[in-house]
Amino acid sequence: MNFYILKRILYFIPMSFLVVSLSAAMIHFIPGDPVDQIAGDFISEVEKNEIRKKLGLDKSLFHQILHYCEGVVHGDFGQSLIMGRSVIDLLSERALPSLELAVSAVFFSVVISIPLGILSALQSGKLFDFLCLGSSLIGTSMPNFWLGPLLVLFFSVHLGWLPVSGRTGLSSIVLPVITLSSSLSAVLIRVTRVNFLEQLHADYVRTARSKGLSEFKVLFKHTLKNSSISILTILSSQFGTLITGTIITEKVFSWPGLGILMTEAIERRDYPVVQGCLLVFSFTFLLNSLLTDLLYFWLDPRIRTGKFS
Amino acid sequence: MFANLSIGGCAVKSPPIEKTFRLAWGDSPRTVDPRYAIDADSEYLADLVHCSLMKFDPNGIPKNQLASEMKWVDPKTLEVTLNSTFQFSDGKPVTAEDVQASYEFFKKDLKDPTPLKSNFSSLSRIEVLSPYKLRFHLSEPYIEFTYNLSIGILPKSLAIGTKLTDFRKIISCGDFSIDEWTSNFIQLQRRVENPLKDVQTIRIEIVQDENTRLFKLRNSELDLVQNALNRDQLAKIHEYKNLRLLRRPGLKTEYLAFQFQDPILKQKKVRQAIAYAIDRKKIMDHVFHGWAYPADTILLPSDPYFNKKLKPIEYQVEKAKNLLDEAGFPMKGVKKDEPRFTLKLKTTTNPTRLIFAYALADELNKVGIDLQVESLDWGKFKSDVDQGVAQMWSLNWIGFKGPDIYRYVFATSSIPPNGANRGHFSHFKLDQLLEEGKGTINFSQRKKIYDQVQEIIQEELPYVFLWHEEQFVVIHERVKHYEIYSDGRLLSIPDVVFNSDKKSTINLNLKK
Repeated sequence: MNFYILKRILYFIPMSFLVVSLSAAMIHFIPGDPVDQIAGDFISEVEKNEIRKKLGLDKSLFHQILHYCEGVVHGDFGQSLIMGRSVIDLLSERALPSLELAVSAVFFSVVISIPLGILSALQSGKLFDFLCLGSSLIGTSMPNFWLGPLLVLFFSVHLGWLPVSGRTGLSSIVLPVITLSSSLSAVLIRVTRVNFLEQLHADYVRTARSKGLSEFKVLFKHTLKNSSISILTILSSQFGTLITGTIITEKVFSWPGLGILMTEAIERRDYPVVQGCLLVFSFTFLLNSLLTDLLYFWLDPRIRTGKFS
Repeated sequence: MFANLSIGGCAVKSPPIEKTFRLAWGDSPRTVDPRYAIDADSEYLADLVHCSLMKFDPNGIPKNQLASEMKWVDPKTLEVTLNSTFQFSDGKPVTAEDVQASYEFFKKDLKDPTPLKSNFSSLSRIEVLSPYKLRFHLSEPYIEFTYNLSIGILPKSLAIGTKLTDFRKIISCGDFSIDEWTSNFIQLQRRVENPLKDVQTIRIEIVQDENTRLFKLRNSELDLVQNALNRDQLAKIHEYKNLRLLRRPGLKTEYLAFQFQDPILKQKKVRQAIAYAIDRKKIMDHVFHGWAYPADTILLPSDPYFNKKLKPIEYQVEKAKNLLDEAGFPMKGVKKDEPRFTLKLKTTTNPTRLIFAYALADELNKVGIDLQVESLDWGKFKSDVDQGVAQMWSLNWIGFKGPDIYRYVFATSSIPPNGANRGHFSHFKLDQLLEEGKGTINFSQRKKIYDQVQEIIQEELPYVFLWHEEQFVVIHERVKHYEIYSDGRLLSIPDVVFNSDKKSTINLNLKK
């Protein structure tokens, strides 16, 4: 088990570098020059070349990526070409708000969707089930960039209950979390419902009931635990959607996270910042898949015994 | 009740709302160092925080600030006397040595080069005559050198160092100092509290999404948004009782440019025909809701160097057709719709510019020119235009001051990589006039030179000038006496007055 975790962590290193190299190559291939952003319009090509040389942008792409990777190995993520600040500073400043938003959204989704999914399964075919399925359909269909402004219009502009945007207090996180978690919650409700329904008709549930176990134990100890593998799989696979959702939600609500930092950096062709953000995103992605696997081990003894007996 | 709680330890002291002016920008300023400020937001910020030898007034006309007097000893020597009452935030007076160090920075060979260095290429040395008097010696006559003296002055101890990236280390001599700079807002505090002024704090919020900016205004979370709302939103401002829309002509000139290396476009009659074929009024009415006015040259009609004798180019389809016939491009006549020739217009992905491009294609189609529109990402567009691989393109000049802009844009010596004459336009007489204007001190002599320059440009048409866009501001009803600057600067914020009976705070909203 420990060897497996170590092996997975060691995989992080080549994977991260592969992601960084590929993404660095891609952003360099996008037409546009960071020197135009740094220097503006009133400067000659000769002077632009001077700036290019001093920033090392005149070197080959391969050389630039190699230089960047060397820096990363030594803990140096470089400096923003535009702002002149260290990338590590920028990332650490923005990581916490993004983490707050993402964790809150996942927490909110799980807390809301799993009970609703279970209730929906138990009430299958009844009005409550119909309402749950309907609202989850709306949640999946509604894009964040539309839902966000609608919520602001209603709760902030008309009712005046919550601030429109910014990260100024607990009240300011409410609307971004609802927006970000809407599609995740919708998917989770459906998956929980379907899996729960499936498990409810399984032999072991019938056996548990015939043994005289309480309904609570049947539902939450046995049925929910057996459904959780599928729920976890969906939760993990939605991680990518969550990251892209964070980028849009941050923009709508002026939430000062990594998403805004990265979109700004792409527009400004600020290569070191884009690479830094991508490194963080790919690292969290890999961490997510590792944690999911570990949770599989914990939840399902068959996986544990199959692999490590 | 939750509004003042903080998340994740991000506690920031909130100044009283009655004394705070709140505005929103779409992007963070790129630098805290005034010597590197080339984006508009960094310039506007530096303006509030730093004093400088001169500033521009609301009409874009230079006026002294730290300098009490500026006079040309000869066309290569500028003598500046300083106002001795200015102090830095550390209490020390602003002296000629600080000014010298601040400007000598641009002559250094820096590891982190500043793009503003090229503005000072004609500066050879700075001589301090006394604590409050100094001379700028130039290598060549350049009267508009004074326009570069609006850059913020730093104390010598900072000015001799490298690029500043930490706002806490800034020592400034302007009305405000930077109190806080986070990823989503910047807070400025008046350095010396002035009980006669309503604004003691300025809070600049970074709000990327334009809908969110409007919602914040409607929700009384902001006092002002300048030039950062789209025209459809502006058209609805009158529906919101707590908001007002203010407008004024801006230093922004949109143009259509031609490539003179192209065999068709190098013919004057073709360029003239295109100019006559554009119904600017119709396009302005549709695209800008009429919030723009036709341009006859780069300079605004309010500029002292604007040539009032310029005749506007009117929309005349028949004349355009005749000119094209005379240029040797008759309608082919075999098929009725067959064009005289095909041209390609490159443009950015900016929606307004793209709408204009298609409107232009439609206009030119009426005179028998087939115009193909190619919309490119800014980076690719800029590199194509700089390398001269665009036949026609549309862009604008923003924030220019003084008529020397004509030299940068149209002189033969300004063909890239040395300037912005991207169409490779070349005119011997114009070059002579532009060189002469550069070193002429006397206003009336200079005015005569630039009158001729504008006439030649209108005759030769290296550009078709389209329109000047307006600066617009959406302001909350609690703010009075806000004056818009033609270059978008925010220097009237410190003097605005708050209408005390118009309450505006998100905290109040939350208490409902």
